[in-house]
Amino acid sequence: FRETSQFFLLVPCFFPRAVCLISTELKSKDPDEIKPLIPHPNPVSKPPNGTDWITPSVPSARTDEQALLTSILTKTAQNIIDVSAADSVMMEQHEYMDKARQYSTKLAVLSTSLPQKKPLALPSLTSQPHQVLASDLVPYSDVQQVSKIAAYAYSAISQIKVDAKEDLVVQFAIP
Amino acid sequence: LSLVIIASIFESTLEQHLDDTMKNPAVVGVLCTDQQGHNLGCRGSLSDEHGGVVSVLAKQAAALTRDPTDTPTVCLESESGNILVRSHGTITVAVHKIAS
Repeated sequence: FRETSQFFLLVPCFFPRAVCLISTELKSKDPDEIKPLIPHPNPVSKPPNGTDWITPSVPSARTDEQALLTSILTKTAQNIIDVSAADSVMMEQHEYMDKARQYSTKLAVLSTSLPQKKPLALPSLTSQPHQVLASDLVPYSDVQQVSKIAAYAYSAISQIKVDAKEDLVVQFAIP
Repeated sequence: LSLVIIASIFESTLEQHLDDTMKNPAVVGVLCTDQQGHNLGCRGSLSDEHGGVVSVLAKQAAALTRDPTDTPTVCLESESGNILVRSHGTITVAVHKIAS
């Protein structure tokens, strides 16, 4: 689990004027994969009106570069779990146990409800494998024919060559 | 301009060769690729998308023997026909033949 409140503290240190937090790029991924398993009790991390954060319109003073840097930073912050955070949350023993129990029950529920992913089956080339295997071998004349086709094709391609006639870059003579 | 003209004349030799190959009623597809699987010319049932597979199959089959002069012919057999793959020099050719 992650203490999401800590990440938002990192951002203002670098960009005091930054106001955007979670970018809309998150929407491209499967939402089930990125939402926390157990909702964070700390209300700071939750959006004020219950909807996702949206990136506010870029202020006229901010350059494209700064916006890009901010977005990279927030994306990294989303993916990094900061274990060396200055003000780490101190949780008591019983809180840890409670959370661990919550997670395991939630996982148990989800693992039964989620559909099991079937491994992709290889396409079947024929419904009559015995028939194909027992049938006549490829005629040697066919093999010879293909051999000849390949040899002709190679000679045709080896005839393709660049025949340099004149320079592509010439001097313009200005009288 | 002269460069472009010469290249197209020699390219037509290959194109003509592919057309001649297709004249055989049993042949429904032919494909020619370079060593990286790029399509050099194709007709019928074989096209661009088969280039990679064809070149890799020929290369892997060649690795089965240490004799570099012993070029294998890979045969993909099915009920509807066979696809024969053979390399020559730097190119690989695949021919799709149906039972005639």
